[in-house]
Amino acid sequence: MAEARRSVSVEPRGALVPSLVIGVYLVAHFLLRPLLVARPLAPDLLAGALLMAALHLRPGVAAGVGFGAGVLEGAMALEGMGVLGAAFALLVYLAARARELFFADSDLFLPAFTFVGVWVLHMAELVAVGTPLDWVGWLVRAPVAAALTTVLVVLTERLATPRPDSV
Amino acid sequence: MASSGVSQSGREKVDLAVTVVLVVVGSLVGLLSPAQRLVLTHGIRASVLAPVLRFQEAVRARTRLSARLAVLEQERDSIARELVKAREAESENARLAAILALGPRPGDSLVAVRLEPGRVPGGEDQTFMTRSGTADGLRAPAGVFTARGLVGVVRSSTEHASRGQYWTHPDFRVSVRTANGTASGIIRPGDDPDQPAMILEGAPYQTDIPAGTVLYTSGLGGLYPPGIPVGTVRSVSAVESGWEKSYRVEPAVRPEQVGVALVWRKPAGP
Repeated sequence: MAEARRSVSVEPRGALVPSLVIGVYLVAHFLLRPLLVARPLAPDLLAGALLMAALHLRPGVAAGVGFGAGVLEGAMALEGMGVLGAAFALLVYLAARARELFFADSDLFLPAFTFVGVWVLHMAELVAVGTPLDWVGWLVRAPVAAALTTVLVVLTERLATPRPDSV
Repeated sequence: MASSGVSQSGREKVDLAVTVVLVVVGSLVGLLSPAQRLVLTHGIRASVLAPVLRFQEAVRARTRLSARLAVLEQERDSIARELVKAREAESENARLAAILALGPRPGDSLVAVRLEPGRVPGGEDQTFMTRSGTADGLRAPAGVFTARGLVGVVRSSTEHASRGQYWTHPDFRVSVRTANGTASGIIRPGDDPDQPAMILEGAPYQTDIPAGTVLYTSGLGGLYPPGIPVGTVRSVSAVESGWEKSYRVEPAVRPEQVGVALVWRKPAGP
C-alpha cells in the first residue's frame, strides 16, 4: 500500500507544470465563464482544473485549490459561495485520496477518473447554487460536459503533464 | 523506511486537517446572512475577480453595442422627443397645481446602476449585483427598470454594493394592471426554464385580456413606481373555473439585454 501511495504522489518539482496547467484552466474558466455557462453542452473547465489538482497535488493542497475555486465561483454566480467552497474542498480531497485506490498505470484510469469526477463536481455545483435539477441535466448535459472535459483533460495530460509513475 | 512511513502518515493527517478546516470555514460562510455574504462577494469581485469582470464587461459591451447600434440611435431620438413633451407636461402640471393650491409633488428620483449578472451554470440570469449601495442613495428593496420596462428588484444593499433579482428569479413578484385599469393581477416568472416568460396570475375571471395588451406596474406596495411596462399578454395559460385566469406574458425586457438600469428611490412618506 505504501508503494502504491508513493506511485501516485507527485514531488513538488514535478508538480510545477501541472500547477501551471491548472492555473491556465482556472483563468480560462473565469474569463470564458459567460460563454461556457450559457451553452448547454460545453466543457467544464473548472471541474477539469480541480480533477487535475486532485491527480497531481497533495490532497490538502488540492482541497485548498478546490476551496479557493469554489469561493471564486460562488462570487461569480452570486449564489452558494461558502457552500461551493466547502463542497469543492471535500470532493477534491476525496478525489485526491481516491486516486490511490485505483491502478494508476491502466489506460482506462485517467478517462474514467476524470469522467466520473467531472460529473460529480458538475452536479455538486448545480446543487450548491440551487439550479433546478431535471433528468436532462443529470443524464444528458452533465455527462456530455463530463465527456468533453475528459477529452480535454486527457489531451492536456498527454501533451503537457508528466503521467504518474507506474506501480 | 519507517521514518518515511511516519512522515507519510503525518502528511496525510495534515491534509485531512486542512480539508476539515476548509469545509468548516466554507460551511460557516454559507451560514452568513445575505448582507454579510454580499460584503464578502463584493470584496472578492472588487479585488481578485476585478480583472476578469472588466474583461467580461468589455466583451459584453462590445457585443451588445455592435448588435444594437441602430436600435440605440432610434431610442435616443425617441427619448429626445419624449423629453420635449415631458417638459411641456411638467410646466403645465406645475401651473395646474398652483391653481388648485396643491403642494409640491413628493420627490422621487432614480439612480443609474450597472448590472453585473450572476449566472449559474445551466440556468438563466436570476441575480445581479451593482457597485452602488446605500452611499449612492439606494435603499433596498427597490424596483429596477430601463426605458423599455421592468428588469427586477434590488433585495439587499451595503454601503457600496447591492444585490438583486431579475424577474426570472423564482421569488420575483410584481403587481400589474392594464393601461385602462380594467384588469389587474400578479406577475411571476414562468416555470419553463428553456422558454423564459412571465405568468400573470389572479386576473379577474369575467374580464378577458386580449393578446397584445401591455401590462404596467400598478405601484401597489411601493416597491415599483406605477406605469412601468412589464410585459405584453400573449395567450391564456390556465383557467380556474369561475374564479380567475392566468395568462402567458412576453416580458418587456430580458435580463441579458440589460447593462445599465435605473433604480427607483421612492419618495419619502408623509
